Amino acid sequence: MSRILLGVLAILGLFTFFLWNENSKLAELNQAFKLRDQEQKEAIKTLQEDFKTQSEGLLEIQKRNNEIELEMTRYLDIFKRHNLTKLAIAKPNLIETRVNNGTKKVFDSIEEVSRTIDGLDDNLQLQSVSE
Amino acid sequence: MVLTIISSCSLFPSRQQVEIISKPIERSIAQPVMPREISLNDPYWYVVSDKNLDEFLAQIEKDSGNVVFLAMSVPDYELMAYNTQELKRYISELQEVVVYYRKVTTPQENK
Repeated sequence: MSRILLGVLAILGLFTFFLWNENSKLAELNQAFKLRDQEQKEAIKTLQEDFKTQSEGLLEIQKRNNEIELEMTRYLDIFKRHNLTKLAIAKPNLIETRVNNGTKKVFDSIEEVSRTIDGLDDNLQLQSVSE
Repeated sequence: MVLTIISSCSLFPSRQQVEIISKPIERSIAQPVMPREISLNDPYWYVVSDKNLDEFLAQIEKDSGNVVFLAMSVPDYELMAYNTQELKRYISELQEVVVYYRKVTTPQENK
């Protein structure tokens, strides 16, 4: 009787060990899946943030380019609206002032653009500026 | 004893909990030093017609000692103005691209 009981206990013990072993493997697998899930969530989040930043940046470029093109058209439209030759014959001194003011204005605006580019790195200089 | 045998000591915690944290690696891109701002000098344009031609010639001779100058017709001046506007447009649009690349390649915490 006791032998039978011992046999049953041994079988139960082996079966329980098998179950425990399976449980351990599944627990490790579960942890690995959790880790993979977390990694994927992080990767998706990063990709979404990058996509958002890039989309916003590209839209901003498009908007600014339209503004720049419009500004250029507005300046050049002056020549279409006025006959500069006739005006220069009639009022050379007036046109001289206008032309020089216009040149100064456009050069100043180009300088302003270059200042913005230079300021992107907090005005770090490649070389010293000699005046 | 039976409980201990059938549970194969599984009631006693034998494994240590290992906490694994995974984090995406941020690319580190070195940002170049931006070119120094430009400094432009304004040339002086003379507008000359029949009305002030003599006055202009006298002024040139007085300023440079000779009657010598570079002349440009009105259509050519308009062309020059167009070219300058084109250059300005190109520089401005390029500036926007530089700003964009700088923004998307700067690490999140530095934005």
